[in-house]
Amino acid sequence: MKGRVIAGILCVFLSFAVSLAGFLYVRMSCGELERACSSALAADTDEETFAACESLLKKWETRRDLFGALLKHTDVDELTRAFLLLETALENRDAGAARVILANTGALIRVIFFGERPDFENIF
Amino acid sequence: MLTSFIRTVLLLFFVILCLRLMGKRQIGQLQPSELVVTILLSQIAATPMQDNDIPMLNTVVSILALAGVEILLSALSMKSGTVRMLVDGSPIEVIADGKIDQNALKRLRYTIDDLLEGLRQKDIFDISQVQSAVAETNGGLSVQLKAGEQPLSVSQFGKDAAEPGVPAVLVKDGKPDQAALKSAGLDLDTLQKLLKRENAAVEQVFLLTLDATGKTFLVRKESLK
Repeated sequence: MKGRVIAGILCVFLSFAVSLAGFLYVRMSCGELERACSSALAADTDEETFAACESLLKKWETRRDLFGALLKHTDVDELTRAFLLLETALENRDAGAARVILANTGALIRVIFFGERPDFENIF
Repeated sequence: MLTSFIRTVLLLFFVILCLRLMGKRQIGQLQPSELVVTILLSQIAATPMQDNDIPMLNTVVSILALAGVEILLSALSMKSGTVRMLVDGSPIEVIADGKIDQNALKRLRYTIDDLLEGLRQKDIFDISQVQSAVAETNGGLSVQLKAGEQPLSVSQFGKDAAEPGVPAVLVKDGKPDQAALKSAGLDLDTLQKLLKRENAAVEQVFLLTLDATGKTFLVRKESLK
């Protein structure tokens, strides 16, 4: 009986810890990606924009797998699509298209994070 | 498709592990809170098996939380009668001193048909034989017959009866059960001697039991078509 109770407490604690850790990671990563989008958008020259976009793409690559485990796959697919479009714009050296994609991607990241927050709207 | 297969297998084993942890009883014996948890568990586990969009971690977290809370609620119910009453309810006597309590039936939303069906499931076809009947919290009906209707027992004849004991299952499907042999105080040699008396080898035996009086029951394997 005592063992079962301990197992029960561990289950509750583990599920809470994992969900909290996941939420904090998503919050931190979404914040970093959004800030990277904003600073790329605020760049003065096209070259600075391209450099900032490359840095953003590297950040995305390091986070993609965990995002896949933590977020809905449709959300991750949308983000993947947005970053692939950004990559294409970079390859074509199209700063204008890159800026539009950056603005959309930043908004997408914000929306995805809003959907993950444990607030009144999401709980109910 | 392969993702669905892998998810299904993983979630199946995970759910079995959680159910073992919760110590589930048979469906007919579940309390209301346990029934709710069992149904919820199956629903939570089934959805990501079919919908690859949902991260598996969400499912694992939900199942762990459900299992954990259910275990703690069960433990609390064991310690506190108030919690037990709040979560599982209380048994209600529907027949007392041979009289049907119609108010109790109304409270339970039991019709007379439900009551008669519950009695028939207890092999009681005549309600007049019932002294007392209690609707349990798991939905079952416990019945006490009137003194004159109860089956006679050995002690009522003033006799002593030897305790029957539980027969030990020594061989199952051609394999000896070491734990059962040990608890019956036997070893493999004794088993071989027992089987030699029956002209059988261990591999040929489907079932062999031994009761407290030393009587064996043997079923040989049939050749399957």
